Amino acid sequence: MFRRSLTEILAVALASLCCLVLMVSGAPLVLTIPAGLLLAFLPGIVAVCQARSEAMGGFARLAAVIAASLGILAVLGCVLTWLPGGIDRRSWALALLLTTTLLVVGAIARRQRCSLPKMRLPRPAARGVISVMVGVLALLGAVVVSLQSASQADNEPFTEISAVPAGPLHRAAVGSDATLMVTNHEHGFMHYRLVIVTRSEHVTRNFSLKDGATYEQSLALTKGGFTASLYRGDEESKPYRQVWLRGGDLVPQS
Amino acid sequence: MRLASAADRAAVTTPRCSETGNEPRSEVAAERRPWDVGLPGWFAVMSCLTLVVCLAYSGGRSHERWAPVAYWIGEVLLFSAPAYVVMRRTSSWPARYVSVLLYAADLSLISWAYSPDMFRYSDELQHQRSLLNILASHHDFQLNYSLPIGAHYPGLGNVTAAVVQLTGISPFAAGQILVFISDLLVSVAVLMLFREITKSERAAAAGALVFLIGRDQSLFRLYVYETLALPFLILVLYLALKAAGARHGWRRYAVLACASALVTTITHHVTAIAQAAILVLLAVGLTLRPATRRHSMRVWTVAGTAVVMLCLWIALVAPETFSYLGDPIEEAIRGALAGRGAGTKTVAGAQGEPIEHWLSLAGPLVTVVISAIGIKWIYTRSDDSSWATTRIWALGSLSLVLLLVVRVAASGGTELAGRALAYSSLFTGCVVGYAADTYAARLVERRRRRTERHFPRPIKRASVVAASGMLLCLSGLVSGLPPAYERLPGTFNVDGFESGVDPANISAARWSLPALGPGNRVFGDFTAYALFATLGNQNTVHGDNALYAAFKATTVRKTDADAFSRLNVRYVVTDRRVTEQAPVRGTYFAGDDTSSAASVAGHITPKALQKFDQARGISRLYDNGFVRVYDLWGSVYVP
Repeated sequence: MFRRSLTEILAVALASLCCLVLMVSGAPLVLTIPAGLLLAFLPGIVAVCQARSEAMGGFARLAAVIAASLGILAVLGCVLTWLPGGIDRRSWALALLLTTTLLVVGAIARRQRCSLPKMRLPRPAARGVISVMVGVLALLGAVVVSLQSASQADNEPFTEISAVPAGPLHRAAVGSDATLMVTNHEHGFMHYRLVIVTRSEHVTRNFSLKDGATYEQSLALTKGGFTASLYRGDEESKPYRQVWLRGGDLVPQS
Repeated sequence: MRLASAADRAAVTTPRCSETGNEPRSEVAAERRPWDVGLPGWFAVMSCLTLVVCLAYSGGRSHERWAPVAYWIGEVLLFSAPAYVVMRRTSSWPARYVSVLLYAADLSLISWAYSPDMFRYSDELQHQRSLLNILASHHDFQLNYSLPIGAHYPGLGNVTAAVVQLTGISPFAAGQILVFISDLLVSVAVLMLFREITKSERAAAAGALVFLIGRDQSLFRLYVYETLALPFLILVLYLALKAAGARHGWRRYAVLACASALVTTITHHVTAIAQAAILVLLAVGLTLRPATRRHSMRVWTVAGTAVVMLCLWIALVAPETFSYLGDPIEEAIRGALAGRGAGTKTVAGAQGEPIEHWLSLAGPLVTVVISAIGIKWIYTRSDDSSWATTRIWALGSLSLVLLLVVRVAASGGTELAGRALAYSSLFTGCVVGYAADTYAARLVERRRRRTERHFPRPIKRASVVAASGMLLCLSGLVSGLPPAYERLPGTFNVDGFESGVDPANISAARWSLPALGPGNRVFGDFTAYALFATLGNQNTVHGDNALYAAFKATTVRKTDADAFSRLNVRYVVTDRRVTEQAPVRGTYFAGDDTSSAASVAGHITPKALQKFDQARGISRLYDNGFVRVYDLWGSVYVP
């Protein structure tokens, strides 16, 4: 009995191991990616193996494994959503382990042997190996070229400034706070001058940001709101960016 | 019924060498050409051509002049390589199948290479929002402002969420992996289905190539729910046919078909409806023929289960499907009755040069002609019961004619027919593949029966097959995605689908979610509509002519203020580039509004945007030089 069901028991052991790896919090990607993919496809592989699929050709079997795996994940998600844990890694791992186990138990109960596909690979010829290597290199080249050209795309540089009042409805009220943020997307180090003008005061801040960095400042709102003008370096004339909060000249806070 | 001629019968009943792959050695040697490099060689060739297309995309991003030429050379040769392998008489069936699969994989890679760092197409962004909602809430059926119906069909979101959560990779990477796997699955499933129907590997492979190059298929290489649903629909059809034809164990096939039908049902509404319709058509066809009536009950079982599952899902989980699908159909019928059909005009900017317009029209016409020939050949074959499904399939290919009528006569027919074409292609692709296979077999037969001095004639005839294939390829390329104005990435186009998306408006949309919170009523141009609803999870507003007029107005008028307040618009997004470029899609705004005079008439002037700076009480919350976000609260727009 044990010998006859060795493949099935091995599948459950493998699923359990993958499940264990995924349960460990902070497991690195090098472990979670293979474990996750294997666990995702294991129920599909087991289902196809025990479905008397010996008569199926290689293509049909491949399609069946992929389809069964995707189908099980799609339906399982609809089940998990109604459970208290919802759809998260822990639920997926346990559900897939359970599915694999149930499929294996079903196969053993029906005394149906799980047969793994026997792949008959052609004997490689030197010319064929070289061709395959050229093809793989070309595909890798396509991936590298695409990623590199997309990252170096000719996008115009810019700086973003925003002013967001606090509060659930974001209604600017006198006495409440607002947050000013400046983010540099200029593809380089930048010097800025921020001028904040209210009815009663005129405040200037100088700061520098490297590419991708954000400057943040909180300020209390007064009647009449404020205008924040951002200048690049020592530019004096026209503001580079400008935001303001008015909101009907700001309502007094009740 | 007219009997097939002796020559025809000989051509179609003689086991073709190509089907078996057991070509006599001497004959194979005689057929060898210097460019017969074997399957690994074709893999290398097709990979290099894929690299050429990716280099063209890279050249497009740096505005190189050679990029369009490289793109067309790469794409056309990439199709030609598998087409040659498939149609070559001496190819073995694995070579044919693998070349089709390689072509599908290469097309998928090219689709990824267009935007390799993030989803940019509006439909993909909508489905990414559904995925992000599942990942954030850990539950299905979360409100998705950009695609409310999408939340009720969680199949794609579930599978992608599983890959993201189990492996820890990003949602974009998981989505791309899923699209790639689905593309391969579609190709395998189509090969199996067409083989089952035509009983010829060459016909199946040729049909699969025609299916893959179709204009509708470019949509199925995107991260959208149809992409996952389509392979399951094809598998359901394949398994239903297997059940119908099985001598033993038909129940196993029927159960598997029903399981696949369940996946389609929970993944995509239109595909699920198409699935039910095709199964019913198949069952009716089998019932009408006395020879197959006994086995039609098997297909009725699958069809009935699919219909019941569909009805239950719509009634219990997704009742919105009625209004989502019903409204456009109702509008299309009304438009057709009122003579407001789409005609043969294409979506603005979809095709560049006039020749592209004619090529896009030539593709369906060639398909209709070849399908007609294929239908004739199928119906003049011996009336064997094993050919019943083939005959039903041939009748199904007439759906293309119906779709062309819808395309021309119905209002919004371009969109409706374009979406439905994927399902019609399952019939036409198969029949065209059969016609190509039969034609090639007849050429060989005639060459065998004639002397060498007649040799040039078959070559001329073979060139008809090649020319037709090339026409279908070019037609698919010019009328599929991406449209002509953004065929190569790298040029910014105001309100273009992917070319209108750049770091400036992505940053603005991403800023809105943490800064404003989700679900605010936001109005802006098409790009703002697409990005703020998806990346910003905002409840964007579209489809109102008064609002379009208010946005374009240079002053604040009472009627404009009423339009904003009537639709509860709280935030307005402006992009100063709309004042510098004409909208490449023919309209600045979202929805099917190219027929709307308010959305098309007139350009947006700088004054139209400046009015938001000058109106009393409006706050400018965000500015990045291109995109600005205004809060209307406290102003005349939101009193």
